Order: sequence, then structure tokens, then C-alpha cells
Amino acid sequence: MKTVHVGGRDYEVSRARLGGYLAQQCAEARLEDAVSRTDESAVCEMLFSILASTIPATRESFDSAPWQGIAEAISAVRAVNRIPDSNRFSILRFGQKGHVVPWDYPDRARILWVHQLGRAYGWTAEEILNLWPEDAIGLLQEIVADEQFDNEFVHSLSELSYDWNKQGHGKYRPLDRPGWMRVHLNPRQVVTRLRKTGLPVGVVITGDGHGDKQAPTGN
Amino acid sequence: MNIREAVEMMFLLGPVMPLLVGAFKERVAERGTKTTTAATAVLSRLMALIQERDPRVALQLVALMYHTPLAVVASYYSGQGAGMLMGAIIEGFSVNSLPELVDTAHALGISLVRWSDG
Repeated sequence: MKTVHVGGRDYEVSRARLGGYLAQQCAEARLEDAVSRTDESAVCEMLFSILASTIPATRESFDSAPWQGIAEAISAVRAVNRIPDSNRFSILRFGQKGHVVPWDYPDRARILWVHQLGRAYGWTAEEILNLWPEDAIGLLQEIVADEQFDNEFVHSLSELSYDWNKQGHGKYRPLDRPGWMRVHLNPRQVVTRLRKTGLPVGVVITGDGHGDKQAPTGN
Repeated sequence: MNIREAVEMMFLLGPVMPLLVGAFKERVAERGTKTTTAATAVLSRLMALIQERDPRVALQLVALMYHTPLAVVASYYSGQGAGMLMGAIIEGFSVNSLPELVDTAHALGISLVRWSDG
């Protein structure tokens, strides 16, 4: 937890739950858009949204405080809300980014998360938005994987998913999986064995530059 | 400056930020240390860039750094020499650190360079 100073008051910056996290992510996306349009007012609006997602600062204090304090607070909010070990989620690393559906709208991400998690587990919106973001991501990944397996099962029941030959034998054409389900995060380690005679001979130069170890002789 | 003024200044200085960081890098490479001389060299480079590109930017910088309407700044400095204006800008940057401005602009996606790159 970090303390930041905004508009004459100290605020403890603690991690946002899913609701605050999604609000921050939404504001970050809109900030990027505002910067690309060189829209100063929109940039300030989004900076306030990022800040308000985690600390209860007022708009007045945001507008009047020295910019250094605001910049430091935003940096702290971003750092605190970073998902720990986000690399372990394949869907985050290899999922499709930037895909916008025609029926998209600014607050859709929050609704979508509530819809997916609520449908799968029967939780209320309040319970869902109170989850830790990393738990919600893990659950969402399982939901999407389950949906894919269900689709694969239904696909396998259809005659159209087989290539039939003249003898009437069919070869199954599996349903495509999304990229994030195909990549192994922890690939199997290949152990390469070398004969002792294949090892280098002479003095081994270690990382600190000292040649203090004799290489094994090839016997 | 408040955050609105700072963002406006970041957009104003955004196009020259890579040149300023480059000037700082060159100076540090020459002298070997990050001294105040290097900071002065960067400010001199900034002044030269403002003169080259758009001298009105100097008035805008002063207006932002001193919370003063642009028209008031323009009329005040119209009768003064360029040295007075430059002095005001340099004094303004002593409160609103240029390295912090560049790093914040980078964090917000306004600039591609960070001061620490220099």
C-alpha cells in the first residue's frame, strides 16, 4: 500500500477489486484514444477516472492540485493495480486484443464480465465486481475454455465435421481452437545428453572472468 | 501548474521532447556527469527550438506556468526583450521540472521518449 498526496489530503492507494480495475482499464483505453486525438480535456477527464477508480479524490482537488502530485498518484494507482504474475494467464498473453464488435459501447467490458461470471456461477453483479481481478481472469479463462470444449463436442456430432472417403470412412476435422488455448506456457523441457568426450577441455572461464575450474577430461 | 496546464504543456513540447532528451544525452556524454550544465544546455536547446519553430510557444509556456491568460502575457512581454521572456521560462522550469514533464508525458503516451533514456 502506498500513500499519495492529492489536493492537500493523503490517500492510501490500495488495490482495486474487479469493478475498480475494469473502470481503470476502460479509462486507460479512452486515455489512449484522447491522446491520439490531442484532446486535452478528454485526457484530463480520463486521468481523473483512473484516479477515481482507486482513491476517493474530488474533482475540485484534482483540478487545483499541483500536477506533480497527480502524476505521482496516477503512477501509484497503475502500479498497485497491476495484476501480479499476469503472464500465467494464457488468455492475457495470447488472447485477441483490440477486437471491437459492432455492438460495442464504452462500459461494455463491465457488463460482459458480469454477464459471463453471473451466467456461469449465479453470482450477483456486486459479488462479481468485488472479486480480485486475477481470480476473475482465472475464472473467465475456465469459462471460455469450457465453452470451447462444449462447442467441440457439438461440432464432433455433426456429419459436416468429417471428411468422408469413397469407402464411407470419415476423418474428423477438429474445430479450431483460439490461439491462447494452443500455446503451452510451460513447454516440456527437452533434456539433451552429451558424451563426456564431447565436452570442452581446458580451463573453464566463469562468469566473473576467473579461470579457476578445470574442465572434466574426456575419459 | 495544475494537471490541465501540464497536459497542455506536454502536448506543446511533445514534438521536441526527443530532441531535448537527445541534447541532454549528448551533453552528458561530453561531460561524463549529469550536472546542472547539462540541464542548462537542454534549456538552451529548447529556446533555440522554440525560436526556430514557433516563437508564440514561448508565450504559451509562460501563460501556462504562471496561470496567466495568454493575452495578458503577450501584451506584457511585447515591450520587453526576448531575454526577459526566456528568463521567465527558465524560472518556470525550476518549479515544473522538465525531466518530470517528459517522464509523465511518456507515461501518458504523449511522448515516445523518457528522460531516463537520456
